[in-house]
Amino acid sequence: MSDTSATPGTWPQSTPLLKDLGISGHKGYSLPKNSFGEGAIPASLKRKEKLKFPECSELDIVRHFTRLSQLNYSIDGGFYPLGSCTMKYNPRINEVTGSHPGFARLHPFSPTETVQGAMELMWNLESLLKEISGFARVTLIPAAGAQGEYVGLQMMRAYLNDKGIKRNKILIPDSAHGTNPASAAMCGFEVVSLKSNAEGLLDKEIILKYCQDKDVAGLMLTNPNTLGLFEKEIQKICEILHDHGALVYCDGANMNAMLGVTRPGDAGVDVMHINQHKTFTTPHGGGGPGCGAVGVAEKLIPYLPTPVLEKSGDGKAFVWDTKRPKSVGHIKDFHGHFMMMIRSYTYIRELGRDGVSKVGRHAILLANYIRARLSKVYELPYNRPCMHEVVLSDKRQSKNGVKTLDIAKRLLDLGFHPPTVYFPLIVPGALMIEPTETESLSTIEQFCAAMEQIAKEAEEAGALEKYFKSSPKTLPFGKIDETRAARDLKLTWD
Amino acid sequence: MRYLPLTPQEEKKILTACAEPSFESLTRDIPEKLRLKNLAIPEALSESEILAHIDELAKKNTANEKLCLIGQGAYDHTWPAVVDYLSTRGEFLTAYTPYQPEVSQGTLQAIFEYQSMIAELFGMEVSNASLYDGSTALVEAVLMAARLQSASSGTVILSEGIYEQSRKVLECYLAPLGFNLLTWNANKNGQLDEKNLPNTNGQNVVAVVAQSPNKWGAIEDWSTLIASAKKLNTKSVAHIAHPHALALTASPGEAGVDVASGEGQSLGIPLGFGGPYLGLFCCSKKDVRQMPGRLVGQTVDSRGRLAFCVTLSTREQHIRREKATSNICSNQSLMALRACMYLSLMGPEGMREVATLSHSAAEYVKAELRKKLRRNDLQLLEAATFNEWSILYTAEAEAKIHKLRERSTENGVLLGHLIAPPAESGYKGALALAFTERVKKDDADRVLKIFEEYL
Repeated sequence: MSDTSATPGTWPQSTPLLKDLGISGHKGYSLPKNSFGEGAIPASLKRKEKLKFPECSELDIVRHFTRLSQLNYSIDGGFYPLGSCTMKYNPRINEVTGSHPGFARLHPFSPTETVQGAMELMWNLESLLKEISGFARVTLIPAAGAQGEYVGLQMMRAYLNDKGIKRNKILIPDSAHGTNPASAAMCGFEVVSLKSNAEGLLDKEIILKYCQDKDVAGLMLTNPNTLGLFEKEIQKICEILHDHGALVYCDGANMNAMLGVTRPGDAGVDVMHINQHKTFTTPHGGGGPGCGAVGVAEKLIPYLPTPVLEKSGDGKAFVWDTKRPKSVGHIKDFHGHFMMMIRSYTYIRELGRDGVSKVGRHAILLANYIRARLSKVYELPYNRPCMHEVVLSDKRQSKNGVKTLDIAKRLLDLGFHPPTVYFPLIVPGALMIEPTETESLSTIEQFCAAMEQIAKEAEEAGALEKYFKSSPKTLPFGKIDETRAARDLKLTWD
Repeated sequence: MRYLPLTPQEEKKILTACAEPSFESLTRDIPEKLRLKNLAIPEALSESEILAHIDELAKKNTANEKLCLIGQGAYDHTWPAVVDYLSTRGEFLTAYTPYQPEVSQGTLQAIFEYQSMIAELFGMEVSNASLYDGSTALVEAVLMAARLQSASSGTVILSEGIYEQSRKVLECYLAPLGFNLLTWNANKNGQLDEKNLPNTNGQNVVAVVAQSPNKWGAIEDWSTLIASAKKLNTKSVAHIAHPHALALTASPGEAGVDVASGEGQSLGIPLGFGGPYLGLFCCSKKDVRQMPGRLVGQTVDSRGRLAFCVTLSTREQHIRREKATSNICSNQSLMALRACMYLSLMGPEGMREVATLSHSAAEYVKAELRKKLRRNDLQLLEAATFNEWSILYTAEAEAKIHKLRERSTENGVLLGHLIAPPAESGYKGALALAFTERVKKDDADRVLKIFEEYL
């Protein structure tokens, strides 16, 4: 392995591991004097081995993490068109309100009379989300989308059980996010995979056929689906499921397309999660935390996870209702990712009625601009107007040996983060592009120009060798050897 | 609108490029009946208006101005200000999951360093990149223990000392999957006791689970957990309620625990009215293929330089779908980053100092109270504790305890949390109080005075 140490005074290419920064006696903290003594942990319960953490000065740590941060691509740094991820701008005002000391110091078990402001904020946020999504109630507890799916399915099961109906199968389209089947399995359901039709949509005839099976508890669909297409038969599909005593779960990962345009609750969906870290601008944070509200139709309200936020009898105070005999129970600690809720609340209040009404519209327009322009040089497997994202493929380029992964890595060299690749699985070599409404048209035009350049390069003889093999080449890091990481497993610095 | 840069002229330009006369025709897949006509939410607020509104809501809270002696899985610790400064850099804050490793080395290396330090703290070989929170991490630990024995359900023995909210989360997840949960009662001092192991009548026991410090604050002896798991020929699961305790007390790894989970909130993460927090998760290397959640591994790039990437993804939902080890998709990356920064700033000495400050403040108040509390209706739990301890009270004393807490809140001290006592103790309830380095000597004396005046 070559030298990894950063040279002082040069632009960081990489940065050594923390453990190599430590020098015995260095300190990065400042604590009050101990006026109580050493305490008394019995010898038999004491830790035997001393902690082997690096000892670093504060400046060492500031430089270490500043340098690390500079090795990241971010929304703040550039266009980030990951499909199904909704990489929109995270307003900085959110960070100001979302770290307000009047909220940050609140213990979740504080007596309710001492946290009325926080509870009011949650109440207000729920009211906004109900109106935007068209659901009767919204729980803010789920930690993320996947947990939202889990609790949604639990509520569906509880509802059916309550009616004396025991059913064990969930229909899931083959285009669904991996979390859908995984959540269904975690709930103990059997997953039945549904094929999309030639238009890339769910077929009501097929669903009708599957519903003849009396073991079908529900359907999990995504709308717009992962091809970026609106399920135009959604109302009819919901009716079919309901007629068969089953329920409809909607994966709300693509909610951004619907903001101000249409409401899933109005279509007859029974339960849906909302990824506040996508649609409502709480930061992705390098993989989390998520923030996954779940909206439900009237009939599922009794089954909401506890605690449920309510107003007291006289309407003057907010209280936690934990005595709900039909509830699915506690799905996580406390009441959800509250500090993230402040951020999404700030965002919605700042956009207001006019702003929220334009979000879906602008996201859809920009995605369709990309579709119209790039479908001239890339394969568009499902040729119809899209919603907030468009799925292209490498079908034309791969004839000359240039595959989706090559296109993605080449895009890095041209200064753009690649789209989501190889998903949805039903499109071979998929490139899933989601621009989001916070981007300007000129940024989108630059991205399209880069994609067009790549398409042109891919047509040349020997294109793979000439342009793609060694990409990315302009970045601090070359292609990362992911196979080696899995083969020679090294998960800690020991 | 500052987050919506598309102009009306550009809208027209796009529609022309798409050869569509209108937005409505472009979105013709949406049935007319489903088109939203009117969105009934308030008008936009300007930046100064939203700031004032949030201030106004914050002013309706009073808990933030009081001394917080509530614990039970969330502790009012301090952290160096640079944690806030560094973790909110846009390059960390606005990056996605590091699936494109060439442009995500910052996040990836930080997670690798986090994994290294959490594994060290737990005394175990491997840590994942984090889960949602303590209780859901504990659920995942039990599910993993079952997988290690190729069981999809079975009996789980849960120590009575597990937090009440964790017990509820375990029930919520495990009951629908057909798991049978049995309680392992503590002795009257609130500690694990092998003689209290429930009768399993030949059931297939997939895990024995204990938490330390437990809900009453008692430090458990891991050897009791290990011996019990051995006796039942099953896996041991340890839950770490408060990672600072590991700076002073035995780690689950040293004791030989199979799977460990924990709550990492105290590692530089604000109380924040309950979240986002940080689910910790450790196991041994041989079992890593059954581990839930994201993992970052070390490798090299095409130029042979040290680099990192997400690894063993074939366990995860986006590849394995319904056969994945968990449905989790995110990790608490930003919280793990804060914990990584916190641990690297504190170092081994800082961790020991915070732990000692918190422990000794708790010990001081406990010792003083022990001198004063000579009454028949109250008793301090006898066990060795870290930074949280409990007063057990009889049914007759219950009203007094409620009154005491009300008076205390009025006097600026959030006096702990009420929980169930050890069943074997015979008491009616327990008041658990937690202390951190925020508690100064005069705060401690103020707390003692409240007890003296209002009890």
